Amino acid sequence: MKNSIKLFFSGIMGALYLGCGFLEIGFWIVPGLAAMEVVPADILGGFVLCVIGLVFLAGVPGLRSGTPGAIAYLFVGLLLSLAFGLVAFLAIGAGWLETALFGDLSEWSAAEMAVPMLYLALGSMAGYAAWGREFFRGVARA
Amino acid sequence: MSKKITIALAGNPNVGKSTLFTAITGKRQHTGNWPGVTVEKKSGSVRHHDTDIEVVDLPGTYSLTAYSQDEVIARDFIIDGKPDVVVQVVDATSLERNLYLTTQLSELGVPLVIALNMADMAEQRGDVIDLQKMSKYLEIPVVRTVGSKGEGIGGLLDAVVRESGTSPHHEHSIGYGDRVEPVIADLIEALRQDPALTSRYPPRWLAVRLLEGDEDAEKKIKVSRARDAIYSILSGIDAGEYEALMADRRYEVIAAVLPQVCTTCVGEMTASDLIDRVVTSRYLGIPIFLVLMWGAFELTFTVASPFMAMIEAVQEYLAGVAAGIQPGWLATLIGDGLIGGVGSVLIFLPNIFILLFLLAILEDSGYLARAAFVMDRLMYSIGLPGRSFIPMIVGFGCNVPAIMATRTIEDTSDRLITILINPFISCGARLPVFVLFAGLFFPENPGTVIFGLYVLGIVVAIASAKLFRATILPGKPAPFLMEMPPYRLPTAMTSVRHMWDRGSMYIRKAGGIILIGALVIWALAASPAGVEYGSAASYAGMIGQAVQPLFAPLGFNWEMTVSLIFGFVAKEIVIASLGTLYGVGEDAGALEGALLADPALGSITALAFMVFVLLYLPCIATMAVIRKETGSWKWTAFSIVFGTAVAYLAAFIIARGGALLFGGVIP
Repeated sequence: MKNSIKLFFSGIMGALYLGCGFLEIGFWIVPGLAAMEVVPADILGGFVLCVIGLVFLAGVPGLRSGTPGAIAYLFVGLLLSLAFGLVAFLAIGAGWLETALFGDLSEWSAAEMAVPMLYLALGSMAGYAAWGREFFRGVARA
Repeated sequence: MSKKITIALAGNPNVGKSTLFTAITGKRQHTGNWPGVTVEKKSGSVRHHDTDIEVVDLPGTYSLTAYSQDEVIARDFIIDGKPDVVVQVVDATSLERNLYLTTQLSELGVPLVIALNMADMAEQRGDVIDLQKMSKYLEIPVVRTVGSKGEGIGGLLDAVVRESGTSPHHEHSIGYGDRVEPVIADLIEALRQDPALTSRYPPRWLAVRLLEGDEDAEKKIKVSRARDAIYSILSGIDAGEYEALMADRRYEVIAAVLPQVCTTCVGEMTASDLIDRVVTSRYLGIPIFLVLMWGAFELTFTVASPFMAMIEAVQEYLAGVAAGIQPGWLATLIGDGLIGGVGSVLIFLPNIFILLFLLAILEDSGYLARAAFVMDRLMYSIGLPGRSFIPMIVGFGCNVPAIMATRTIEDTSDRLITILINPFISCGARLPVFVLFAGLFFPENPGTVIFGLYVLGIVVAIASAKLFRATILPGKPAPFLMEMPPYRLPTAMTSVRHMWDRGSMYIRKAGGIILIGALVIWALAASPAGVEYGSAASYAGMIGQAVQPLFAPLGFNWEMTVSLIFGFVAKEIVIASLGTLYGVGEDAGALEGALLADPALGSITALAFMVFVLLYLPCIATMAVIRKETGSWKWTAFSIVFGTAVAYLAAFIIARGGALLFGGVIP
């Protein structure tokens, strides 16, 4: 039961990351395509999302067949997702700080936070809360 | 009557071999050098019952394939020194890696005893190793030892004496499978044409070495009467592929033996093992490395931005104060020379420190060791060992320690190539130039442009290595075997300390060489007396205009040309020079405005300039360390000329290519 939840989670997260990654790359390559409010045109950001998505998806066959060690893909996917969520958060936070100190804060909008790297990481936070802590405590002990 | 025997202590590095050597011989040791080389040779003696035992401590090696000087010394002593017994010191906490050497020693057919050292540490972590079973499966006596406490020494010497009295010893051969074995059989048949050779070396062992592309074995064949027959067999063989097949087979054998002899050594994978499974995977390893590096550069640009704005505000305040100083020349010295020069470098300290902090986190977590492993495949394909990647990563901070870090590379040509390509790796001193120009001329994606420049540096380094390997420094790189440290959650204090250790030199440079450089440029820009500061009539302008025609095809104006000339002292001076020459000292933010307003500068020229700064001749400190580490002015001069030529060519392609694409002018 527990493994099927992990399998479902890996599949969904992988598909979301990969889908958003392709959209970001597509919007960048074909400027005529209107970028959605919540998915910017960014080729390298899109590449990052695709890699995270592929890490999640690479674990799916193993999780389905119960291969030992397949869980590693889920955990590394979570780790990458959280790390890049933090990158996006810090980048946006730095923009806010600069605007607050040297600009007009009224020009800053919370909509700037609507980037897949950040909001998809919220899903990973749930996964981390469920399974990640035990795994990463193991890393600290190793 | 007493008996006299010689034993050789062999084993991987860091398995407690020297400790065991001291535990066996006590104070009866003497040191010297191995013949013809400067590697230290330690030997000692001990009397055990009625046997006098001479003990020779061999250099630590991971294998017996002659890739490094240490391996050649160890192998030659075992073959030519003909010790009565070889004692392999095995780290009980790392059986899988250590037994690889065992498989190679077994193939030599030498009398072998295993000292299972650090057994107490293995037991403490719960490993249960069955010595009898291990001895039975390997067909080698195994003795438990703890060198640091002197435990098991008597038993080890008993086994050594026993083993020296038995004969003959057969080779414990591994079956290498249907694809490899027929070729080994053919090679053995061919080798038998030279009885002198086969009487000295076990034919199967020599055949295996030849199949692995062992250069030392190939040298032996060159003078053999079996040469032609062997060459005809080897001509249709891909040595790299066969070497991998045989290494896989040895590890398969070890993997089959381990569960039989140790009940917990092959237990559940640790969290580190699980993470490694993904981050070092064949397909995902390199993409994961690339995205992590991109994340580091993205943060370097974005998070530093508000801190840069704060430093800029302080500079503007100081420039305002300086403007009121009398006499006027002192005001321009402080405003244009000090604040405009040094200040324009200090503003980029947040970028440098953030990048170094992020690299420290990656290093302290244990990830950078994996990055070197992941890149090994790529490095090997271009003719360099994976070990060369570590100095490349260190080069992101500063090329000087990076070039010194090449001392870990044993092969001379591997090391020389790694030194020569290191200046292409973008150090922190070049970052201010990239941050300024990418931020100004590529405001939509400055982090991506900077990331692209760092990647370009790596690509040029790799292409240069390939070129050197194919032309002036031919050879084959040594395989890369490294120990992976376990992953750790890095602490903020440790990472900050590492960041400070590497980054504080930029502050010292700002107060030293950059300050002097800025003052020299100020003096050149303000002289001769009465000339308009920083104008074409100043000495700086004259120098720039004299050299500028060389750079005209790249679209660089004379101010940029002068900054490049002084950047030879230290790369940060490029920005300090521009700050001084554009005369923007009284308004620190004005350099950006002045550059944007300069009609000579557009995005293509800015890109060509950044690429030139990335690749052109190394700074003075790097040149000095290249001279010291290569011991050659010739290679130092080569590095300068080659780097500058590559930089010119790359910038020319960008400038001219851009002009072609955008209608005949460089935008």
